[in-house]
Amino acid sequence: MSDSELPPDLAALERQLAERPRIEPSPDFGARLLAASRAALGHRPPAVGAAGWRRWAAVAAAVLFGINLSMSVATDTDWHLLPGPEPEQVTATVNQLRELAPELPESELRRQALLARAGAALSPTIPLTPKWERIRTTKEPDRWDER
Amino acid sequence: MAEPPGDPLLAGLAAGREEAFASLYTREGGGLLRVAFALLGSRADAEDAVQEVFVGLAQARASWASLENLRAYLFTALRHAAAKTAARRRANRHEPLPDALAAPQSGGLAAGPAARLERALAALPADRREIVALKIDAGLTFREIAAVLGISPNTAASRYRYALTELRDALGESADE
Repeated sequence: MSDSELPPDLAALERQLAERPRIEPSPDFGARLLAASRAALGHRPPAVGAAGWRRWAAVAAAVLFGINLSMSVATDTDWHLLPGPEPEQVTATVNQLRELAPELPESELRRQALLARAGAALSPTIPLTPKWERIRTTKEPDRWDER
Repeated sequence: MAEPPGDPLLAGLAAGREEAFASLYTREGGGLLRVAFALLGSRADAEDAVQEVFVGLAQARASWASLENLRAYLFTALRHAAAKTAARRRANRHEPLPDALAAPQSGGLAAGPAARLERALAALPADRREIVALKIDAGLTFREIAAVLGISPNTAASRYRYALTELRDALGESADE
């Protein structure tokens, strides 16, 4: 709403208000206020840059800890394959297969028996049961190729 | 008035540069003090309220970079600071105020048109006095006043007009006496 939108008497009153003597800030108030602002700036919270640096440092520490832990777990995990089937078990399986399919030659019976025994543990089984006490205390082996 | 993006004053405030605070005080200090005086009726209390606004600004400056309307923010903060100052004063002096906020003193003018105008202004209800101060003493637009008071610009303009009408009527009555 500008003066032109006010009736003449209100517009005149508006001008009268604008021209009346009003309080002005004293010079010492300005100095006092800026000193208080300066003091408040001095007690500012940590800047965003510093906070960001701390966050990235925490992330890096967490990643390093994770890598170290996973290497410890990998080191103490027994990756060896399970032993192969016992000869007695293979022979027993061959006998069972012979009863089921007497027309098969001996070599094929033996091959099928080995396959059947291997099927019980077709893929190498990795016992993922690291001993936590060892992970915590064991040093890394000096020579990796001896394992 | 929306601040232009990348306003150097806002950037300076957000960075905590003292010269930015000095510029802001030069630009808005007078208006803030006059509005605070209209709300609180005492120069000392008005100065306390304005100082509180600047200190709060310094402490929360990190959020200023995304500020859209600096003047609206300042005068909104001033209203809160004035309300707190008035509450402190009531608690300290234990004297009830006739209105939510005290009416300003007439500034020592005993007679004459200026004194009559000042007395009539002081006699207005606080919300009327506030809107006149925001418009006349601080030079805010109706859009800025609307943002400060949380109303629409049209409502701000209507309230301002009512305030002037009441003031005119009060002046007419005092002239008749």
